[in-house]
Amino acid sequence: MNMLEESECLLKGWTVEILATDLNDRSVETAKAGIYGDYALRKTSDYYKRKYFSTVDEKRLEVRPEVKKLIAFNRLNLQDDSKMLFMKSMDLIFCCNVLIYFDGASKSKVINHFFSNLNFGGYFFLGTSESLMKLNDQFHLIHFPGTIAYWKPSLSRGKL
Amino acid sequence: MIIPSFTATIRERVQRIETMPAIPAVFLPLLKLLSNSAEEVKVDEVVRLVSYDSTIAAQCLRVASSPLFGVARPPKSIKGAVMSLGLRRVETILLTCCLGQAFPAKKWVLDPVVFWRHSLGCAMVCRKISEKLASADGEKAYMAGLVHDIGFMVNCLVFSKEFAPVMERACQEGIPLDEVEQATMGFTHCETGRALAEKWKLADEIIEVIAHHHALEDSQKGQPLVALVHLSDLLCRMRGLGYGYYERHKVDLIADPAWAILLQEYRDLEGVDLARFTFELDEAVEDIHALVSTVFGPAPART
Repeated sequence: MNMLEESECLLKGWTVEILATDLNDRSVETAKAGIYGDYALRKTSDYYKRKYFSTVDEKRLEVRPEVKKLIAFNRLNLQDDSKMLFMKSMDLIFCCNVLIYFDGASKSKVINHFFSNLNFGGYFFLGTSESLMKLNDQFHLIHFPGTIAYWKPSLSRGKL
Repeated sequence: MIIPSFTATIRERVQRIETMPAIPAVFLPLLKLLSNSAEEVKVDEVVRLVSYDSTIAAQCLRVASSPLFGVARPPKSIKGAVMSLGLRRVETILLTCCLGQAFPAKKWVLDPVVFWRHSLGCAMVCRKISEKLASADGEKAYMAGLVHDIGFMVNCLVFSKEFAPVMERACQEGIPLDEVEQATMGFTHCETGRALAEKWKLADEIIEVIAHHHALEDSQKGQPLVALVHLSDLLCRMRGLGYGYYERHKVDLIADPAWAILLQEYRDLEGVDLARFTFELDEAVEDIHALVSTVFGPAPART
């Protein structure tokens, strides 16, 4: 939705593709359906609700097709090296509250995959209270106003 | 670089500050005490100084009860506070209260509540980082963080006409205040703050922090302390403890030259998990807001 909002401004001329994955088939199906209740939407503004959702019933809203069509939903095991190796050219990766279930060695392996999946200058976002400390020293920790992300430095080692 | 004629103007206007706000009588003697080493300071002397001013004493006890100072049982007397918190910490609490009394929340170009949240937030961050570094002086770091931006007070008090458009442009365009100050006024809060700090005869290291926290390369002495405040200031501005507007920029604290300066002095900085530290700071933000209301809210009537 943010991407669509910026499609005529910051992202004018961009082609946006989003890949959404989970290990669990049922979770992927739920995500595909795009139906959300009150609690899930408690922080979504009325503007977004009106513009990008349609009403299912009194308590539920469904994401509109023009948003859904930007997203490919797939089942993926982050520990499946053969699949992870072939995912390239990502600009942004979001992986929130997933790595907390992995042991140290598996975490490091997945994070190294993410590093190589990203384009130079791309960003990786973790969940609140997660950290890459002692897991990876190639990413740079970047503070944005109100959020933090991990940056894969540009080849030129230029400024941010 | 600052034009020499500005230096004269700043000095002349800073002279007016002395007579403006009601600086508590204990403030300047306390500053002098703080510049001595801990062994030279007598507990009784601090208690005696504070007992002159019951408002400050009461406020100091309220502040000492804040979760940010982490005491199990809130102290009932200044001497009790010294026993449970340690003399150095009580001194910094007193300094915090005195500044709050000296410059109460009035209608300023820069909202005083926002200003004090940033200053107190920065002081806390400086102290918390220091606590993770074995040989750092946490209370000195706290004081440096607390007063690093006093130049904004000077701007609000005696340069309000010049500072108002700076604030307006920074808010509109989301750019750092010091950049707009330099472009618009030809000098920054670092120069006005330095003039006040010199007048107050603050310790040289603290003056360095006030004068150079935005331009470390110009700092001759006290480099690690200046670097610590520089980093804490940036971190606060990224975590909702800035100047009350959205700054459109991003920072790489570990790649900042200040990080290297600090690391050279304190090798254990390498073990600090900056991401977790940031989340810890987020949890303390509400406490910082509460503390600002206690210290810098409308002053109770003096008795």
